[in-house]
Amino acid sequence: MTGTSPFSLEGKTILVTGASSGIGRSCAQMISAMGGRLILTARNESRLQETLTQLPGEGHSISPLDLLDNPAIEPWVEQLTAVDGVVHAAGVAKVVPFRMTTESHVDELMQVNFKAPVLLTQAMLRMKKIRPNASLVFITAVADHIAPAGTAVYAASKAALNAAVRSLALETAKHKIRANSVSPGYVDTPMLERLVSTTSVDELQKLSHLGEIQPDDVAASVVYLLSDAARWVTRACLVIDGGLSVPVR
Amino acid sequence: MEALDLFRLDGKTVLVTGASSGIGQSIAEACAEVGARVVLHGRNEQRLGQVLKSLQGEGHGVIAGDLNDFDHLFALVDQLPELDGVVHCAGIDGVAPMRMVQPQMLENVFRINYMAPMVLTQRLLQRKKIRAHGAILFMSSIAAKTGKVGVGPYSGSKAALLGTMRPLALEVAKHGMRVNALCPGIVLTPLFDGFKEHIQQDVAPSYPLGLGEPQDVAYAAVFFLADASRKITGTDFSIDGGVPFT
Repeated sequence: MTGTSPFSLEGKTILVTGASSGIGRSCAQMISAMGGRLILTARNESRLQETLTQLPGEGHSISPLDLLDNPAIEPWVEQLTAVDGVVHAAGVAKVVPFRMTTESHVDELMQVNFKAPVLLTQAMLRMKKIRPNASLVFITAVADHIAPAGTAVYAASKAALNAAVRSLALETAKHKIRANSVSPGYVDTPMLERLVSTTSVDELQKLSHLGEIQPDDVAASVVYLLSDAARWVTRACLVIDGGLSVPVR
Repeated sequence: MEALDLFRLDGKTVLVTGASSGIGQSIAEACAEVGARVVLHGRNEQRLGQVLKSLQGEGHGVIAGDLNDFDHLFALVDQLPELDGVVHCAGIDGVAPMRMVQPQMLENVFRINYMAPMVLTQRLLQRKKIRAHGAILFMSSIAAKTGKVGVGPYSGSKAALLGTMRPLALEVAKHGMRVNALCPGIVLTPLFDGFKEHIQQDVAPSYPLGLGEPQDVAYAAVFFLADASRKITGTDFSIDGGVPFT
């Protein structure tokens, strides 16, 4: 079984945000396939239930949380059991030309993509819900340094998270808790489908020189970072984009 | 495919250069552990034989020689079976202040750390010895991305690998092949034999997670060779215990 593999997640309890769809859901499935026990969270309880019933293995649970509701975070973390890993997969993406950027657009993206994972991590650390040797994985995006037109605020929110993770890693190292980012390019998910209006998903996917990137591909990178195989990896960023960013300054 | 299979190398053949010691040895061991057939290359035939004995599984092989001798390199490529992975671990250090470095030393460091892996890669590709969907992995270094007094020649050679890796990644993508580089921090291996005490006393404390073990880099290499990383190409990945100031 997975037990003897250095990439096994047996014996580990992992919290996944954004677990009801896309990358988050795929991470939950692969983590459980690798022996991990899941705590799934997202806003929509019925979609969380759907994800839960499809997971192999046992001992998984769901716990809905609205990441737009900052005061709700602390009481939610209080009822959490201690974990060996967290995957921050909840996120939102929007294309808005800079000239049409409103304060509310900035607030929305910074709230979900930056504030929520920061406040959630802060609460979990403060209330000692993250065990020693745990692994924190933050899904960012290659947009953090190669953002195309129309994505300034999205890019900024991801860059903000990336920067914070690099500092966080230095603080948590004393407990052997690691913090890393996984930075995807275009991934075939509902988020990408919703994002696309003027161009097709296929056109965007062509920018990956290795073909379509599926959520499972991102999940595999997350599993590596969660596992003991990555025990010396921290403050790092794993880019998975099929070579999209290679030619981009 | 089962999830676990994404992190294994069953049915795959991997060439590891610099396999007689240090990180190369550890990578060879880890690849064998997850089911690969490994071809070990290095200069020291006796050491290679010892590593061979320690590998799990079967079907592994040894070829000894100096990659800086291109006659040997070309013959090596002709001898090799088709490969699913190549890990370029052969390398040397190159410490000299830039005001004092001799041209011959610079040339030597570049020949071993950059020319040999690149000429080997060229020859393998030209002779179609790397299968579609194969993975090429260069061993760069944290030194490619940071500055440390005295490390000029080594840093240059390791940064050169990253520079060439990118066009190479785009060139081979049409075959589903991917090319990446690891940038390890300091792992105590024979490469550092001359500096061991200094590193343990003066450098190790600055590593948030301590110094690395060769096995840490080895597992990263397995990830970059396995199907788990099939959509990752043209990247350099830092594996360095989070060290800020080098």
